Amino acid sequence: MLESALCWSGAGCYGAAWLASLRDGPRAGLALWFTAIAALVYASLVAVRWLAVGHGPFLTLFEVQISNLCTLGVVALVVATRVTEARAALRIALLAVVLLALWSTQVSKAPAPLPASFGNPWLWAHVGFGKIFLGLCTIALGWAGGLLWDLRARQRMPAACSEAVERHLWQTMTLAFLCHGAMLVAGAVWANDTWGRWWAWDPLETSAFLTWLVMAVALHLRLAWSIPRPLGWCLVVAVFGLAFLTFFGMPFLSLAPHKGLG
Amino acid sequence: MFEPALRRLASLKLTAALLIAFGGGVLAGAFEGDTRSWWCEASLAGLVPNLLAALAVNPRLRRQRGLLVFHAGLAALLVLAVVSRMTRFQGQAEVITGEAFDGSAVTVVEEGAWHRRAALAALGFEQHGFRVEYGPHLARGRTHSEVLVAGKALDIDDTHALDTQGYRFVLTPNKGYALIVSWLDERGGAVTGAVNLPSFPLRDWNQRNEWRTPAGEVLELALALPRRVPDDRAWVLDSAAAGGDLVVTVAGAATTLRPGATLTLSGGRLRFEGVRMWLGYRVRHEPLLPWMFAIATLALAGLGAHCWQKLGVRERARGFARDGSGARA
Repeated sequence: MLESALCWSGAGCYGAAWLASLRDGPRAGLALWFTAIAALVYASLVAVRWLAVGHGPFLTLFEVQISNLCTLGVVALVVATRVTEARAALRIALLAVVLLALWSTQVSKAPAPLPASFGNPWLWAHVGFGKIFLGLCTIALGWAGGLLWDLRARQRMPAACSEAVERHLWQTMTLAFLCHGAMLVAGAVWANDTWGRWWAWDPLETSAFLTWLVMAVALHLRLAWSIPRPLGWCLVVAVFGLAFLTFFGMPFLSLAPHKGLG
Repeated sequence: MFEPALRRLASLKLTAALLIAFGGGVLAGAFEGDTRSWWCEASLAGLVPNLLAALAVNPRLRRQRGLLVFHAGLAALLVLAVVSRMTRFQGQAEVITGEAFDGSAVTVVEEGAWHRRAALAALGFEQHGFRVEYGPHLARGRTHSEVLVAGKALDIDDTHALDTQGYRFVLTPNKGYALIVSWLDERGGAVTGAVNLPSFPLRDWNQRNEWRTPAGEVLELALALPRRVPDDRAWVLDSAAAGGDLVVTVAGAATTLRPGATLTLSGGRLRFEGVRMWLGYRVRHEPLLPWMFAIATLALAGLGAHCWQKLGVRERARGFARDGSGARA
């Protein structure tokens, strides 16, 4: 009951944040306040869940969603307070977060037992880098999606496409690339300790590696071919799509032992 | 003469094309269930000279130390991954409590051409008891296993593997009962061995196996367990508590033997010595893994330094813009 209430409250806060982000002017700052409240609500939800099931939010789709909803808010706040142009990214980024939040209200909240092999500090590093990566990817989606939207609506290169935004977008992607690499390395160490193999090309690992590879391709294409900017933005959206599938689809669609259940 | 060729080899367009080819190979392999296609290996083999050539001819890449370390690290990682495939070993072993690990009984999953089988055969440890905690509805909890290595007792569990002489033994969920039987032939000779039964409690309904006697007769050996596994409460599977009767079926006729009992068969007698348990391990030998980890970490540190420098440059540019004069505060 408490979990449902917090889940809906968090989704409501993100909804309010998204609505505020649609407005220009001083009220746009409200989006950050609502995002901060939403992140706090989801942090409380993670704590409540942790106390109830006795382990961290690693296993079920619901747990993965709520923990990411908390960290997505934190990453958005950190970036938006450091980079002024990031506020323009919130319109699309927060829309994605709101959809994820609404989805989390509908999924099963049944707990699952934590496999004994999950008691490994590398798991924390693996999950932590993954969450920062997804947060940065969502901000990049916000920029790229917003620019693509403007381009489609106005049939010309958006005015907001300043050199600064373009630079921030690709710097964020490079940082996301770094965090994804750290996630893969930490995950390999964890898997080696847990299952006695560091890489096995299971569906989740394959999906995560393809995400990293698409990022590498996007970064090189931009440098090598000087691809048109809209194509670069499309690649950023594709990276987010793959990352979303890796986080919220593949672990729950495949029966591979990546969840440690065996 | 070589420079134009080197420049072509160092092309970033070639890098992107090879990465796309590699990604396509990984994706195709994921659907086919085999990611080690020649397509993937060819693209990876192309990436190493591409990277090395880029490092040689691209002064911009060399100037950016962070990027240089990242790319050199990636190239080293690829080379190490190839060498590692030649030296590594992966297998599965079932070790019976009270018995020493037998390297010749390991089921080989993967073995590189440069792996020395003699090193595996030289490994020695003795399996002592183990315990597996279960929650209700067969929810597996922690596993504790005690082994004796060079006279020293060691505890291993789900998060602590056994590392000995470069080999790593990781616990698997597989474990089960082992029937210890002796074959006493008509000339007075005796041979004792074990017949491992299927994984328990996963296949508690099928605790039987076939065994051919040295005289050539095929027997079905089944374990009659004293009690069923509780489904509604927590319990512990303890190897020290292993017990039960042996049911021997020969040509449709079943005979139950208690520990110490014998059964006369064609060509000799079968003596049931008792019940022990076996524990499954994943055996891994990958001597280059620490180097691969170190190089991967170094490569990431290089990329991190590059990002830090780029962000730092931006911050400094902002400082200049705020000052107007370009003077630092």
